[in-house]
Amino acid sequence: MEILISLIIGVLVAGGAFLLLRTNLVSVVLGLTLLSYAVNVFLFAMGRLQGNAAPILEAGNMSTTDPLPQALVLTAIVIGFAMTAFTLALALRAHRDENPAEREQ
Amino acid sequence: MSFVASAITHAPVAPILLPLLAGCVLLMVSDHVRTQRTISLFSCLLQLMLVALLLANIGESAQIYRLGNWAPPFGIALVLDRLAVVMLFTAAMLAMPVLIYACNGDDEEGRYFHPLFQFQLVGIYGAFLTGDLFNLFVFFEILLIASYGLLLHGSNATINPHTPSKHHVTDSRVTVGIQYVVLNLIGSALFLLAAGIFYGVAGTLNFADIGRFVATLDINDTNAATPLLVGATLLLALVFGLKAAIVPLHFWLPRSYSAANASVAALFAIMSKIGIYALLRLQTTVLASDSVLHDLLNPWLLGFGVLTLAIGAIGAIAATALAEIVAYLMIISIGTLTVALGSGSVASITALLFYLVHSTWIGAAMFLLAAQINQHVLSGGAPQHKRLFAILFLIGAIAVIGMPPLSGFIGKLLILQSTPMDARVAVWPALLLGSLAALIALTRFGISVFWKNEPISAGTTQPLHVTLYAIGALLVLGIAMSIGAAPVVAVLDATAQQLAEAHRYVGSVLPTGALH
Repeated sequence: MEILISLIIGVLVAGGAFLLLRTNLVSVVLGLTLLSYAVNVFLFAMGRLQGNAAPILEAGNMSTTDPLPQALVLTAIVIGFAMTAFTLALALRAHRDENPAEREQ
Repeated sequence: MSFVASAITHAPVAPILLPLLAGCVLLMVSDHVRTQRTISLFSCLLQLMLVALLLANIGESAQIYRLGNWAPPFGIALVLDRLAVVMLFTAAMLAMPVLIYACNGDDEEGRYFHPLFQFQLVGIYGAFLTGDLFNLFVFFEILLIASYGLLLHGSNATINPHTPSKHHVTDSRVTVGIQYVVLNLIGSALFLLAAGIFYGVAGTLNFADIGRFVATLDINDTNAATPLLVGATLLLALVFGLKAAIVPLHFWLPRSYSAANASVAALFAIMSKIGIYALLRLQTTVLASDSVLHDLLNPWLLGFGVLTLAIGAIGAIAATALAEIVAYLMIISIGTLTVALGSGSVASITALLFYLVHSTWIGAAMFLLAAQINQHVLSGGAPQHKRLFAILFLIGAIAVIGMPPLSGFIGKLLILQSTPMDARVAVWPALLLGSLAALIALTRFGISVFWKNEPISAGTTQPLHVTLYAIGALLVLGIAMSIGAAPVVAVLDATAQQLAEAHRYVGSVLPTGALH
């Protein structure tokens, strides 16, 4: 399980890094998105991977997961979503600056 | 509880709440610039009074504020120790003159200058106050997104207002903004990775608790905790180095600071210092003197500091416009601060803090002065204005270069004295040659602008703007630092002493029966 998650994080970071180095701005935004997915899975995995366990302490139940990394991931997702929206708007503005002849119909 | 007592208990969170409230109110009146200016100036005045009160009541022990009354390490704590108060004071004293300058016209280039300015202050004050690594990440994001907005403020102007020279391509604010945004987003992702590793290994995100955990590690243990923590610390230092513009992560700084509005560039003078502050926090809590990771960063900081000084010196001599020269001088000051950070003694922390405060105020003054010189001297102006700007430029230049008797000299002297003996052979030449490069660059600019024989223009005698009072206020702060250097150094020395005693920090943040 850990090996699979590690491979997934590695592939996401590799894809994100590749896209970040492209000249197309939308590719850069997609690369940032992939990188943030990788970071979120990494943060989640820091709570120790345990299948079928809820982040709730119960009397007889020994299998619980750590809720704190899940809270960190939620915060990171929200911040990342706002940043992605902003960066896309910025990319659109840059595109319009360079192609002044295009107009929205 | 009486009002005064409850005000004192809630004082640590007030610097975060005041600008937040002001920003929200300003968003509602975003159509009327004059109302915005009044509210914004009033808010900055309140913040300044609050921070001055905090500075006057600085105590021996840190004041801990538990958010939601949850005890650390499970709850997030704001730590108001001496370092936090000094940094808050620097930021608040910077914000007021910059805002006064901005009210003169910079804020009308776009629509949302004042709310963004207040939200930026929320992020800056919060980053100085927090005692939790993930909370630091959140405040970094707040200040970064506000800075994106401020950098792009008024980006309908595609001509760089600071660069009259025809010799280099002017970047539009949008192009520079994209580079700045993408680099900082990558930095944020790396920050999260490092924070994740810290949580996974140490089980906590509180600075004091991580420090306590690292102190219990034994270098002879065979578990993987120490190498993982080494990796996480270096990654975190990389992120803070990107924020502080340490070479080789400095490429964004000259272009961003030259392309931005004058008041925005002046406010950004403290943004790179936040990276230095974060490295200092990291060094005094996680890498404190009784931990296995103790000397991890110092060699790197010394080496990269010298490199930053070299690159900054070359850039300052190569630059043509004053805003660009000042941006490279900012890199030189970052290099100086990095070298002081890598020196690793109590005296070097005192020197670091003195030079940090000085370079924030004087750097901001020089950015504002650059824009004013561009507007009033280079584009033709009255001779008496030229004299006044020449005097201001002279004072600012002496302070920035580090010539006696102003504060730059005292700061550099303290840093030179506190460099460790075996590093002096590399650090002293770098520091002194950096000052020489600044001297050459500023003298060349001053001669070519102020000493040229020009025909007396029948110039319009425009009334002097209030912007000159703002620039003058910042320069006066620098002069006050040099006249009152002894008490200032005494306060900063007490701050450095408090930072050096990491166990007292841990003891005051964590309750005495910490569950772990």
